[in-house]
Amino acid sequence: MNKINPLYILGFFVLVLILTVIQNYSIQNKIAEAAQLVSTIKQNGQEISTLKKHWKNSKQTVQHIEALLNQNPFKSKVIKKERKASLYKIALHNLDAPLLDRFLGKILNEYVVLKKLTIDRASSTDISVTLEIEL
Amino acid sequence: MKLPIKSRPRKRLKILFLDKETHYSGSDERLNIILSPSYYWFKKETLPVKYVSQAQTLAPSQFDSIVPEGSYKYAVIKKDDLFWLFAYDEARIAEKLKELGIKPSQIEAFYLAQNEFDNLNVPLAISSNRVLVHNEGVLSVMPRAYVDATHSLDAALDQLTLSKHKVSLNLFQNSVLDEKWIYRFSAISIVFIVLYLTSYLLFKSDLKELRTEQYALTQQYELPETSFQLKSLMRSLTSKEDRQIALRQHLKKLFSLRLSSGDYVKKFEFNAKGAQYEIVLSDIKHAESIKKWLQKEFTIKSAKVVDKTFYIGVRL
Repeated sequence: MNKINPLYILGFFVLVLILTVIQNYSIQNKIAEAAQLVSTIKQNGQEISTLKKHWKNSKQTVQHIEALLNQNPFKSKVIKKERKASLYKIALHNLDAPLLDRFLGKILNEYVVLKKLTIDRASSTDISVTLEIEL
Repeated sequence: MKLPIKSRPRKRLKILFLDKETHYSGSDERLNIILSPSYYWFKKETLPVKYVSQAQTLAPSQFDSIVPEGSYKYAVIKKDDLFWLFAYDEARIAEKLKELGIKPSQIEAFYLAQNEFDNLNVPLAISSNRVLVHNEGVLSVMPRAYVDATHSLDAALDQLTLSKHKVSLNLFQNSVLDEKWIYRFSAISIVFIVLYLTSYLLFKSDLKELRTEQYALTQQYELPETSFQLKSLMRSLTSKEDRQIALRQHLKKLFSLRLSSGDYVKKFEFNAKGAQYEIVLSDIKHAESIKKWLQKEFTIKSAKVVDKTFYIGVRL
């Protein structure tokens, strides 16, 4: 003999069905949010990784400057290479105007954080340049 | 050694004989109910089938021309080669029980008087003017005016041992939906619940994968844990890049300063705040044109000419 009204049983199943539909809808929303977040993290991650590589990579900065200073004709003009904590100081002398222009063109096209630049002209063939670069 | 199992004797439930004229003033106790012949139609038949379940499908056709129009349920009991067929109207029984104040939860089971009083050999008085009679194998209720009864029903019920043949009844007569439709809708609901639950579990696994990917990406790019820290890091790096690009553009401008013939830059100092020139002039009048040119792009911080040397500072 039925001890429970069948209408209550139907009511129970309908209620469970409504709850599962709501749960489904809610989890679909969560998935959409999570997918959006993954895409944002990927985008931000790539951007931050590139920015760090360019502007927060002291090892790479030193490598690039050293490589430049070891090139001819700059190699023989270097009079100072000094690394102090987060600062890298370099000085070159006996440069003429075209060589100075070439040197500055090269160094300013590198991803280096320029802090200070000083150009001193003793004569047209004796121009010295001092650079302070942040590491 | 075997331990003696002491089972408590099961309390005998009260038996109620449900007739049109039954009165009930009991409490909420549990009951076994015997349906009076006035609540069912009865036929004995020899059917060309073997089992009760097969006979059950044939039962409705056996009552076709006998019972008044209505919604009936059928019960079958097999007695040797005969099938006892019963047709009863659930709604009528439910209505009577409601009238008596008996709740469905109180009822243990329903029995049929025909089966329970099969061996009745004396008429039983079921009320002041109705008698239960066994006549030629059929139990029926008759007016007391025709048959006199010396035995009471209550005494017979006290002695009665109920058979195993119970009758299924749905006492919840729902006006909104028919019972069949209720079960159909319930079945449909269950199917959808299973489908949605399956899809929920699949989605949950997808969500877990996405969360794992989030974690892996955060580790791969060495990103800070909170979005606040991430924004701060991003801001600091982009501002550094913007500042360096701007510095290079300022330098490009400052290096493009055109000097008159005979003039030259003796010293040039540059940092994030500004620049300072020391320009040797062939004519001190050139100082004004230099100042004018620089003024177009920068703010002049200081400017003075000392012994044909022009000292001029600009703010970026």
